[in-house]
Amino acid sequence: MKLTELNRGEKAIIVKIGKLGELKKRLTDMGITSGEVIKLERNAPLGDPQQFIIKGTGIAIRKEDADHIEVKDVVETK
Amino acid sequence: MIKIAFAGNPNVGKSALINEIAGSSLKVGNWPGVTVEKKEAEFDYKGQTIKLVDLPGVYSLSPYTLEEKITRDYIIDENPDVVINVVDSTNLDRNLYLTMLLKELGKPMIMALNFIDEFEKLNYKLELKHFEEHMGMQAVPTSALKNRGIKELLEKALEVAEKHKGQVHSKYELRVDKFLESEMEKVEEFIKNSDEFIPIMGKYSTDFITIKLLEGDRHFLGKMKGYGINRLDLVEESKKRIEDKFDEDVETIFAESRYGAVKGILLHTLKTSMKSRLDFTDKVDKILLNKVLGLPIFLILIAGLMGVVFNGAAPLQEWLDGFINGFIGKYAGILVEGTPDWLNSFVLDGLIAGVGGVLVFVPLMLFLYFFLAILEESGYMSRVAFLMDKIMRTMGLNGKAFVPMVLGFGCTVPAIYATRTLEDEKSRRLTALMAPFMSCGARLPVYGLFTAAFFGKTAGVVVMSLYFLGIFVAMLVGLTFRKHEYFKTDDIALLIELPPYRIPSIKMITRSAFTRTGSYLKKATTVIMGVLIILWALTYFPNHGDTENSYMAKFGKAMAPIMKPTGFGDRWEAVAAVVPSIAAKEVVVGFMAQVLPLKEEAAEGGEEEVTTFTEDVVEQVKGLGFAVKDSFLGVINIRAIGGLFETPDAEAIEEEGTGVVGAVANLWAGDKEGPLKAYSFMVFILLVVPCVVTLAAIKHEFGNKFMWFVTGFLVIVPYIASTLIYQIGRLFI
Repeated sequence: MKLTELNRGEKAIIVKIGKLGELKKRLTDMGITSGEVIKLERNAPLGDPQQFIIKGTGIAIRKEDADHIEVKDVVETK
Repeated sequence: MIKIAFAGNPNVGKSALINEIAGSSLKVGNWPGVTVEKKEAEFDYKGQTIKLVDLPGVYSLSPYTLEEKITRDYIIDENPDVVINVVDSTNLDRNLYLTMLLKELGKPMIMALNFIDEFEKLNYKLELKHFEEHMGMQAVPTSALKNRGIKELLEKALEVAEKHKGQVHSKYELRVDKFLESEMEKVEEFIKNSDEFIPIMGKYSTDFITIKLLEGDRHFLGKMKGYGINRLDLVEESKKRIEDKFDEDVETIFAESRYGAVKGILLHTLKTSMKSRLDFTDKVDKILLNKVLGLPIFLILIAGLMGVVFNGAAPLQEWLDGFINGFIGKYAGILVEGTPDWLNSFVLDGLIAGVGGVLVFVPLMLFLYFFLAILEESGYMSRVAFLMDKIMRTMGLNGKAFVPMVLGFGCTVPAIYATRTLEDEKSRRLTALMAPFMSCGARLPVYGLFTAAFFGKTAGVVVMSLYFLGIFVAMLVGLTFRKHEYFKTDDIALLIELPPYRIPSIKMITRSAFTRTGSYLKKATTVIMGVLIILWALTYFPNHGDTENSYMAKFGKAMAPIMKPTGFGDRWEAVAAVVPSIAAKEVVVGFMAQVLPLKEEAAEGGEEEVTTFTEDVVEQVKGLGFAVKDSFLGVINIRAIGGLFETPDAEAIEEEGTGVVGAVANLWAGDKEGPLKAYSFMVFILLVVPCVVTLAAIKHEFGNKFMWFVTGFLVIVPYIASTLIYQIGRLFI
């Protein structure tokens, strides 16, 4: 499923990052790689962008970009 | 001389650490030709000259951002004796990725495990000895806040520099997959056997060349072309084999190998606890980024920022203005007494007024830099980008651009300087191009004068419409230019870290506010003084201060026909007033008072009070005391912010010259198009080149070329806008 399909507070494992050009490299540089656990922390008050937690860091990405990130094994956290 | 370069991710406290080491010797400037801030320091330590360079905060060394290129090129080309890699010890997972990349460059390195106080509070444990062995470098636990490990870091860095003197590259061993390793060996073999690579072997390590060739790094390949290295078929073949085998691009494969290596090392050496570095941040963000409360709190905070910056600085600015023009002016006047008229006027109205023009901005700069740094260092600025992204992106801007735009309503100068909080060069430029259209406080007296003369009761609505017009034009400009190569961000995607909230070090922020303000004084003074003196000369000559017959007036008369389509071009006084408005917008009011026939002033109480020098000094010191008090009150009285948008009334304007409102009304008396012409004039003043200090700020931040571009742009845009408004408006009259 897509990263944007996560609900608030849910965690999942990244499977693959799709075609995003340079952004893919920048995501990788910030620790967003396949196999990592990523958690949707919240949406911005206006709905977009979204805040995720990965490798102990908060990261903001727009939905249009998060759409290209494939995840699996969704787990709900408290 | 020993050169030490600091490299690390953003938000790892690198600046605070350097500040702690370098103290007052720190200098702030820009990297050559770009708007990326460069901090440097030079000092003597144990008989050696030490030079510290703060490299921009980066997540990697890829060629995609300006900051990354700068960092990489500096380490390769400038050959620092040692690189200090500053890492956030509470977030080693992520931070050590850059460490791996830095190691690929093969330079002598040492690590600063920063925020060690927080690390200990979290009950994390690191087996330092093993960690150092695995990383292949020494690591010093540090905390700028608690002043820990600072001296040790410097000592050890110097040791490392001494030990590796003259050494070319240290061998780097990235543990990779066997298949990848065999392909890397093939490429290494190729490099070693090609003569073409000989000239660059001293500069780059073999590991680095191998990895970059395989990754197909654009920036690096470009440099190789410069050395005449083009035949890379063998590398391409290797690359293809790797990508086929892993079904992934080589860049990602190497990145994952680096993360893998980091994970392996930390697995053996780091013990974390149940506590998370984000526990506190989580709680704060639950409120500050709350779905309902997030935006209102943000707006209150921004209003507070406006309040403290402008209301805090205003009393001090006023005092400075009085001190320079009143006090210094008075005694300089005594000194130049008896000299020719023009010299007298040059010193008082040109020179001293010019110095005043530069200095009155100093309090504003200090307040701006101080409070901006609090927003940035605390971690809130990233949240601004997060909150405002959806709105600002419609104009092709980053969410953080909201701050400079809002500051623009107070004064364009701090707005320009605030653009440096944006991440990329092109967004900074676009924001700087749009910010001058936010109607600043200095334009209010002009609106006050013209609305009082032509609009009476509807004045409020008229002024409001000007504010909205400014915003509208800025949006049009943003939408038009964001597609242009010079402004278009390479990567329009938003990707920002929302770092943990941290309490900023007030000592460091204060120091950096003073350093940056000092840089303003150094860089802006010549431009501002130069233009102000030219403007003085244009109004003074050739008829000894008779403004009505000055060059300025002649210019206005000559230009009037060209300005005809704008409507106000039929009065040369209005046209001529635009030129001195470049000194400062409010000057228009005084200029009008000088060139228009005013009613005879009743010479009431014209006798000036005679005071002695001591009395004057006491007066000034007292004034400073009051100014400091008012400044403090201005900072804490958030409600006073409304005052920033208050248009002065007719009474206040008449202080510039009794009857000036009536005289301006007479500009187009009996003309049914009068109000339309006045409106067209106000629109012109709203959109035209804001003032010389803004231009100096643009030059300081973006360079000469961009300043001239903006100047031209801000003449054409108001001309078109005023013409459109007048020509369309007259159809309805």
